[in-house]
Amino acid sequence: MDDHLRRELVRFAAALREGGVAVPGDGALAAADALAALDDRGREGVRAALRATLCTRPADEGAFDSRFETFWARVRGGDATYGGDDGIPTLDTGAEGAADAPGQMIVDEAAAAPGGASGERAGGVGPSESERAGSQYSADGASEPVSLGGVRGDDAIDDAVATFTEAVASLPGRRWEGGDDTPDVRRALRRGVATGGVPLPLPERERERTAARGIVFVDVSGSVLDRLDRDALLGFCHAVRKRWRRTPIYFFDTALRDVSGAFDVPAPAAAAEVLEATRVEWGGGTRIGDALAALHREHPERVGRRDTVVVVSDGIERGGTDVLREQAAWLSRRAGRVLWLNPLAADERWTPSAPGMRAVLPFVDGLYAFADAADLADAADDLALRGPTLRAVEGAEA
Amino acid sequence: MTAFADATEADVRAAFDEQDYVAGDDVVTTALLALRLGKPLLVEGAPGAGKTELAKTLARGFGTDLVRLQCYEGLSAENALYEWNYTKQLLAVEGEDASVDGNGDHSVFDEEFLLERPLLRALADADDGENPPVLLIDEVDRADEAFEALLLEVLSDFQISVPELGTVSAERPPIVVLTSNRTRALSDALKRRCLYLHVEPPSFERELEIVERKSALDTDVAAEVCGVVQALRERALRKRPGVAETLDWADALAALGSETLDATTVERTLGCLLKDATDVEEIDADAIESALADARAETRTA
Repeated sequence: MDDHLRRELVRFAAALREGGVAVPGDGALAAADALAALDDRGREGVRAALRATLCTRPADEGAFDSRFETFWARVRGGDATYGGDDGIPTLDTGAEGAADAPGQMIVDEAAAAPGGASGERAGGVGPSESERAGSQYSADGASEPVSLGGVRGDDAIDDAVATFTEAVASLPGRRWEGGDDTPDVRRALRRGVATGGVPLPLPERERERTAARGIVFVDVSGSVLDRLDRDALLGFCHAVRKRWRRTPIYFFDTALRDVSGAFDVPAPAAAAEVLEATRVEWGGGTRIGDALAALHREHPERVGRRDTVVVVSDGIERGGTDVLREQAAWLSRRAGRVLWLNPLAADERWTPSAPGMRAVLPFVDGLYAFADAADLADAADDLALRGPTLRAVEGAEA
Repeated sequence: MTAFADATEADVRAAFDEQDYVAGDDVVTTALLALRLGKPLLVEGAPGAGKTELAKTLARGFGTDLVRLQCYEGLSAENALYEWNYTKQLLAVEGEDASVDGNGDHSVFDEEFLLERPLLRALADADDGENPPVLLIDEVDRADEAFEALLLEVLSDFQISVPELGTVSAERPPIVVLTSNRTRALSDALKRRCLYLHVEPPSFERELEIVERKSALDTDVAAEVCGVVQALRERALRKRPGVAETLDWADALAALGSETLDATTVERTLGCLLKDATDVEEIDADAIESALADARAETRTA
């Protein structure tokens, strides 16, 4: 698909969203796929294909039809502009007749393959259209009004991550250091032997407390993105990258990708742009076990005993749970602690019934809800107060 | 028979024509996209608009099976996926023909003890024959949200795990048509995975074409029938007549041998069109006369 048409499709999807049309997050890419599958790319064929992929409610068809004329004019080379929220497009006089011009659209099927349309499959990488689309999904799949703002570097998420960081940093590690928590029997024996049994003050020790550092895995499959506010997600990744020490960030669905570099920018909005530019795909299925296995195989050194591993995932696994269980066990043995942030747990009706979630639970130290900034703030408070717990599970099963 | 993936717009149109299914260009294009892209097709519209018939027509037109799952409140995974035939298992164990732990030659968890329900059957049969079956998930809005979540999983991967047997998946997924009467809003997550088609009541001309194809009614009477139905749809009825009601009415009039449509005939056969007592009361003699007048005017214009 040529760049012009791709841009116009994304622009059209954005104009529909601004007009209140409930366009799916991956609507623009689905629309591109549909156009590529058409034999007859005349006006009515294109209209039907776009309506089938971009509309999901009968009430939206009026807004769709009015904006489609502008889309068609622009695709034909006109300079029409989409109107405001009144649903009435404004056609530039210079483009007069362009909307009615006969002819076919030119679509390159190869470019319409997944990943070929500027990250719109994810519906969430761009700072404007995609993020707004992402925020249209709700916790339980039911429709409900939510913020339509793009990625903007929310202070709330930054504050929540700051609290979360302090809580993680204050957690005792696995290593011991001098302290007054418990008697250090081993050192007492050594000293006793060294001094020929002369009594000495009893040495004591405590768990080492270090700065927050670790590794973050973010499940960017469709089921997670249906429920997790993408503004909060990108803000979280950005703030972790900024506040934690040497913490790589990985996105995964069916494959694992190191996206740490995308968050080494001044603001979350810039991170969204970088992700878009690198065409990181979002919204596929999930193979958590395979993704962890890839890390285990290729970069096992990135997980250390001082590290806090944060996994953002709903635990809905498309691969085998045996692999997942095996890799979760490895992660648990290798890392200082494993904290699991589950977007589904924000719903009070949630229970850990997904096989993937059940498989990893024995290897998780803390499980918290994370669908937006408020959930993360709650998780941080809970972590600071009680340390890592599985209260979310216990509450759900009670 | 043409394979779904190779179908052209002409093939879809021909399949519809062959089955006397009158469809607009938008329906043909959307159905073609569902075949080519392999995406589920969600069809919404008022009852009687021809949503279910669309799936049946696709199956018949392309010479493949139709697997239907009728949704209702409380529909469970067992009713949709599979169940074990407990009676048969018990008899097999008692007769020592099979064992529970599978140590013998024969386990009670073999396929012969499995009762395939529509979703599993559609996947199990998908790779047989030239085309996979058409899976019709009818009135999905009547099922509850838990079942919708199950559908999400099945429609995402087109595979079902039977713990005792393994995973059943389809190389060629079935063509899935979901219908909804919009009694409740479906989740965004489900809609996102589907192509969407909203079926509006047809225009006078299209409805006349449908009645002419599907009923034995004389053309002039058929035109008046369609005119009356169009006029009634303009009224604030609790349940407006759909195309299915129009066809029922046309069949009734044909069975009665009606050669003209007058107020008395309309009044006597109104039960074919209106299915709500309040609506029947609302349409009195004056309303019938008015509808007939509108119908005749429409017929003259056409």
